Amino acid sequence: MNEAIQFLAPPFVMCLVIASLTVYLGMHVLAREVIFVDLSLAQLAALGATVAAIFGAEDEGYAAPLTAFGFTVGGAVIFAFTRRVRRHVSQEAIVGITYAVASAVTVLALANSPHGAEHLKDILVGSLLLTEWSRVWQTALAFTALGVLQLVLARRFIRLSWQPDEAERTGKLVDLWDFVFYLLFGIVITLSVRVAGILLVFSFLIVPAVITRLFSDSILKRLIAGWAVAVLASCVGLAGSWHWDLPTGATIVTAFGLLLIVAGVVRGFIGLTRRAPSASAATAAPET
Amino acid sequence: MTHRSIAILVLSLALSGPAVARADLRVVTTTTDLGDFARRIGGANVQVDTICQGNQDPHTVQARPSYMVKVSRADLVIAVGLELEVAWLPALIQGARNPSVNPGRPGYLEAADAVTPIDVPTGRVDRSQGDLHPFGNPHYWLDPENAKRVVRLIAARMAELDPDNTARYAANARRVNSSIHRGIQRWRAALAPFRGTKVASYHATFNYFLRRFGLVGVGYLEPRPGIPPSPSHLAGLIRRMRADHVPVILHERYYDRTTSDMVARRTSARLLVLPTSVGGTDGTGSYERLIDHIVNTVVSALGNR
Repeated sequence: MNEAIQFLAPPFVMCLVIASLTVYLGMHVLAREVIFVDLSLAQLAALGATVAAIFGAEDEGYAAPLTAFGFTVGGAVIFAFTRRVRRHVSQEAIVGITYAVASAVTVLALANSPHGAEHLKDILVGSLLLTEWSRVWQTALAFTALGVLQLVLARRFIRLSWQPDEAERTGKLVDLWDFVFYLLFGIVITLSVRVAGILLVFSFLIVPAVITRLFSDSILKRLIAGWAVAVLASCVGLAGSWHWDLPTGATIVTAFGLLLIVAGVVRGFIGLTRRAPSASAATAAPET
Repeated sequence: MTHRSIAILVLSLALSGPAVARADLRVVTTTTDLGDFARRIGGANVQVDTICQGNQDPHTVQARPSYMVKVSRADLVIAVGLELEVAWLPALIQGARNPSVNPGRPGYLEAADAVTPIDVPTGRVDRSQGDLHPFGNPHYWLDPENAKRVVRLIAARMAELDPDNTARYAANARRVNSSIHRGIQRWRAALAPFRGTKVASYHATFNYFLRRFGLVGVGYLEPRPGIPPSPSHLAGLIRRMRADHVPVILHERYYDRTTSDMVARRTSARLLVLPTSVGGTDGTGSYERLIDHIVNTVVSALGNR
């Protein structure tokens, strides 16, 4: 037991840190219907880090994170200023194209690297299990600052995400604020993907938002329930990974998937039991 | 299910970790080949765990909790070295928080220290020659002469960490090496008729083996595994293979066969899917049986032309 706690404590706290902001941002992403925007931004950041590495940046230096950040800014610009294409095509199309092209360019950039395949795989699945405390605290510090910014800007961003048309009509500098949103979002994603990989971060972002959407429209209620979902999935995933000796990130993603199924079934039952009385009342009515 | 029973389930899952028994020396090796050597050298005094399966690509390994536990309890970690495991082992050792097996400490051994690497890039690296490992080709264990050197090195390091059993480790190592030596005579004799035969391979894994037994590699299908080869690279290779009437393609079991199948169809070369580590397929339970398997497969394919 001691051993399990000793090894699983850093990844568990890391999960809490990642969940703190991704659960909230996931609701934005879901409301904006740009589900894969995190994959796109993460892939752009990974491409930036790869490009830096090709030009000789050290793993521990600042060049790689800075280049990754630069590419994320580029992504934020793209997504902020293509929001108006919504009238013609879904913005999801732009998001998907960005992801595909960024992935392909990463493959090209890695084609001459002897460890290209490992690197590609690492971007996808990450290495949450091997997280060190120093990385946990660094990320927690950065997320605290980002969280304060999100709190300050919450009203503005919520309007942008949930009432985009109204925001465009009445708001000023909508594109600029949209850019700020994607920029802050991109930083959260870049920091998270570095540790947990694209698949796990995607799950942290989207699954709690979807599960809670099944039961409520209130942003605050969904936020609290979403955190609970993320913590539960992390616990189940880490415990399962330890018990069955499975890769940690993938186990947590699977736990998220199972929770979604359970939530779907529960929602179905609630729907049935609510409809059942009225249905029986309707059929019973003519007889009485 | 109530909340309490879920909590109990989660807790009991967390409680029941993998268990490891006690021994004089606890050794963790990355590959099964090193594990085979360490087990036979250490005998009953040493407990050996391996991280990669024999049929798994040692370039890419996903960290699992048990790997961390094993490394955290190890007295000695033996790696292939030459950056073969660079993508995962340093992070694993760091994550396991066992300073005695950090690189540079006596508890960490790169078996490559025993051998002279080939394919070391000099000056401008020629991409067509494939592997760009800066310190040379890390697949040296498929040369049995290198295996003998590695056996001696492992025995010496075990003796350093556990001096009480020095004589036993040395005697066991001699026994292993005389068995490998008998193997070398057997393998040389079997491959002697095919000296100078040109072969293609999927990745640079077999270079040491080819060199030792006088076979000639003409190129690689995928110079960097996992990154699809360019059409011009494949076209050039197919042209060369046709011109040289290359009879076989050596293909590592753990790589996808699609490219190799395609090249085999277009060149009339036979595709030989080979294990590259102990336990890589049935009947490769020891290092000598692994090389037996590779040699027999190659000999029967070249003999039946």
